[in-house]
Amino acid sequence: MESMKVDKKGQACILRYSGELTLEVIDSLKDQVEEYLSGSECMSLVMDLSKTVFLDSSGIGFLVHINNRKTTKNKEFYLLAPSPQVHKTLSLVKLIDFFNILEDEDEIPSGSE
Amino acid sequence: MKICKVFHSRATPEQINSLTRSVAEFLQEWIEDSDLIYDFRLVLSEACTNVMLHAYGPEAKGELEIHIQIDPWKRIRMEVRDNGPPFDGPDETVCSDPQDEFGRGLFIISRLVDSFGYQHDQGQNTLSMERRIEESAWKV
Repeated sequence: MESMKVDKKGQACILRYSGELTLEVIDSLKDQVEEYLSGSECMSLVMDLSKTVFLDSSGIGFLVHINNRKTTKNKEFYLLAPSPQVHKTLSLVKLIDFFNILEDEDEIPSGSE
Repeated sequence: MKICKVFHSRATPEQINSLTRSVAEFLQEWIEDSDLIYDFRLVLSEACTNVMLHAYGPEAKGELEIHIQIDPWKRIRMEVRDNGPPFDGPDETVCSDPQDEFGRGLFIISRLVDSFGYQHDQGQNTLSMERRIEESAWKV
């Protein structure tokens, strides 16, 4: 069952997504994430993908969308601990080096720098 | 002896997910390697999503068929069929620019199968894909 929970750590919002990241969910997710991109609650968005078990090109497009939006919204965007499935799919489409990837929550920047 | 099975669905995001899960469950009866099952599900997800977006349009809920042909200890062939209008076909498999939000489906398919092809015949589009499976990946 797909779900997203949000935690705060300093000025970072951690979006913890569980389940499959596919076309079925991305429209709704984009709306949810846009609130955090446009708001002043956080300076950086961290997408926790450790429990994301399936990622297709629609899900990839969603991640790219956020990454593109972060620049216009003057925010940072990170992927946190991508699952093996996510890591494999991002590598397949040569995006593993495109995103800022954190392996551990301790690496999340604590504030604006 | 080849094993064949046909799956039917409508081209909507929800039904495509349900359909590809059903195919994955079927393949698990034959394939031991879970990474391979994931690859097949991803390939089918991309192919079916392309049908929804390009053959029918996202709101059309057109018909979709997946034909699975298992040649035990050798290969698996998959065909995705729809009744949409013909299109130019998969003649390019270039990876999108990193900032592109779309256009990676065919590239993913090309990287995860050994061969694929497209044809339009008697009002039906067929995208066929085939992958050889090494012996160790099969369930005994």
